[in-house]
Amino acid sequence: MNDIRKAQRLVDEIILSQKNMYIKELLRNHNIPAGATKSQFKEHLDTAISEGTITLDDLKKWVEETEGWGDEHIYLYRVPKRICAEVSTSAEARVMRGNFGHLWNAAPSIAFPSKRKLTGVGLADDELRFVWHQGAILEERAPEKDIEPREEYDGETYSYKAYRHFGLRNVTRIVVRPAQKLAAVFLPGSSEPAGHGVERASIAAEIAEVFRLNDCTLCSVEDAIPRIEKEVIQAKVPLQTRHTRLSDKGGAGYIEFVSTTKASYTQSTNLLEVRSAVRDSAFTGTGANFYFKLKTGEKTRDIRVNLYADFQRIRLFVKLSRDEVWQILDLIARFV
Amino acid sequence: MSAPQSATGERFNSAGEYLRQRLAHVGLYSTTAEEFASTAGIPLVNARVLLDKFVNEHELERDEQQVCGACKFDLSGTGATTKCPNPDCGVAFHDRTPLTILRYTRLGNRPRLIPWFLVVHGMNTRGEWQESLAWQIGRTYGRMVPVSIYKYGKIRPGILFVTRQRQLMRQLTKKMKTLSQQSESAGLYGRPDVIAHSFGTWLVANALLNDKSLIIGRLILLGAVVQPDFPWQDLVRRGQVEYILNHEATGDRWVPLACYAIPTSGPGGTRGFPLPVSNIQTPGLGHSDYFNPESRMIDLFTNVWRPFLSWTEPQFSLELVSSQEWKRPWWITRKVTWLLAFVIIVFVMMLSLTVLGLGFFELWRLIEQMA
Repeated sequence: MNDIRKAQRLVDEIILSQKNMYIKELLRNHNIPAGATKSQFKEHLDTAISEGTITLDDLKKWVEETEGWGDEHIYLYRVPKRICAEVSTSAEARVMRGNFGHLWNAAPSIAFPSKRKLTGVGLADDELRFVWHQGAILEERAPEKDIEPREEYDGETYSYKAYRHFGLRNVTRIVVRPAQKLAAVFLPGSSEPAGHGVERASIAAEIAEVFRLNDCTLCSVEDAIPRIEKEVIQAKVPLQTRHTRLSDKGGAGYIEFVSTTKASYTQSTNLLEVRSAVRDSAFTGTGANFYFKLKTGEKTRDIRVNLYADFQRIRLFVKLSRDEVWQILDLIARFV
Repeated sequence: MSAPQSATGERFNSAGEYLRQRLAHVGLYSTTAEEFASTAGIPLVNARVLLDKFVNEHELERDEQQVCGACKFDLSGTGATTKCPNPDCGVAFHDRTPLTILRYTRLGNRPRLIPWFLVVHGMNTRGEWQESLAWQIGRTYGRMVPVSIYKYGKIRPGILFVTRQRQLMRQLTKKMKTLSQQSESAGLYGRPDVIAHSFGTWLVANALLNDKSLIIGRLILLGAVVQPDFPWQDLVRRGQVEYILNHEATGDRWVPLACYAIPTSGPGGTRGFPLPVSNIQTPGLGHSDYFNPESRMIDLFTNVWRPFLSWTEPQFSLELVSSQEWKRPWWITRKVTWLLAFVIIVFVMMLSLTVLGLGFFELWRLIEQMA
């Protein structure tokens, strides 16, 4: 398969399923007319590939920056000094000694493996990255295919609802940032939180020769929640807090603060007074919805970031770029 | 249909007037058409028309939020278009249409939290007003707001000497640092707001100037004896103080005299300070009349100082006034008046000692006669 066909396949199978604003950005960066719909994007991309305005390498780099970022579950870890030193000095040697030397700084994969498969390991921008891909079949309601009329059978009424099945590539990542003594595990948004422990253990075991995730400390999200709130109350961080649940450390019950408006609940004098009367030392943060003010050029978007004490997990919902996700994580990492 | 009525029982001629009254408050106002119709006692359709009219006039904003029709999961910021992202639900929006909640909101000024207060008295008093103010603060807020009452005693003669001033300033600095550490470890959010009177204003100003690590929230100066050319702008630029309110008393007779006796002081409390300080005046008030009678202090705290402290954008209930030009008195004048004050104080002290000595002498003689 030549590069043009590979590039077209990448467009059909991966790029067009990304968020429109990022596809537009890709087109704009290569001086290609954008358009408004997926079919227009495809048309313009195909032309650009044929004319050589955009290359397979350009598309692969873009996929790496965009695919899988945003709609995901994230676990942050504190990395011990000695492991940071190992990553900085001998990551490549360790990869080469291991079973996946061929993946070192490999170009982004375009495969859809049926099982989760490590497809890339690389060190760039003082960041060690592991990427896994897995083809997944998801379903989406397709009401136009529902079977009507309802069927009567044995005196009961039955209805048949249709779901369209479609393929998607799930991306799992581990990123280690030795300079920040921080590691992050990114699991796809569609995965069940209850299974995350097993999944993290499985990927940790797979890369243990290169990076020992099990020797790192999982960051406490429940401790971070009141700390972040404290900064929000003092308007020191670009976050809003619209829903927070604080549980009594004695296990007796919990308090919930909820905003009925698009602003933080702390916009209300009365709620702010009540919140400040709650001693952080006596409560832990069980869950919180924060809204991160993400600036993209002139525009500011409210990006929802949920923090859950169960499994100490961070949840992002909307598709973002790598840089945008790290803007949010860098902020949260200050409090964990 | 009854006339709209506010929480305080006030009646209004129209729902529009009622809404305007609600919007006159500084902070957040948010309502739904249903809530407003019920409170204002008008039909729902009229409430919607009125609220939309206020939206068109940019007095209110429409705030639409979607929640899952099945599990009520808040969908804002999730980007969900086809199904509920709550893993316990996942219902297709085609099968259960999300619910849209329309609120009419005016965010207004953001409230500000006062973690704790520091109150510093003047030189010629033991600061009895501090206790009354602390009690007033304790009753005002619906939560615990600790008030640290800083006392250094009466220092009439000591005030003439730079060394004594510096010593008192260092003591205050040390105390403020200790209090900040204690409040931090107690989980109190942020820096203290400070209310200082007379020589207390000099102490606070110079403590901040001399120790860059000292950080406070907002500062209220009462009867300030700080030089009008004091570099407040440097303190604000360094982030050591957020906003400064200088409450002048036009009948203050002591502040204009301060610079003739107290080294490096000045009549900031009557002349005012240039920006970034906000100057306000109460006509006819004397140097310590802020606190006497107590009802006046309560009134000033409630209506003047509290609005300044309570909102992210400080509110001023009295008109802001510009500072007046001030020229430092000649060096020779200051030295002569200082010497005069020193001589008077020495004379008074000698006189007191003599009287005391004579008293003891007489007492001794009386005891001897009795023996």
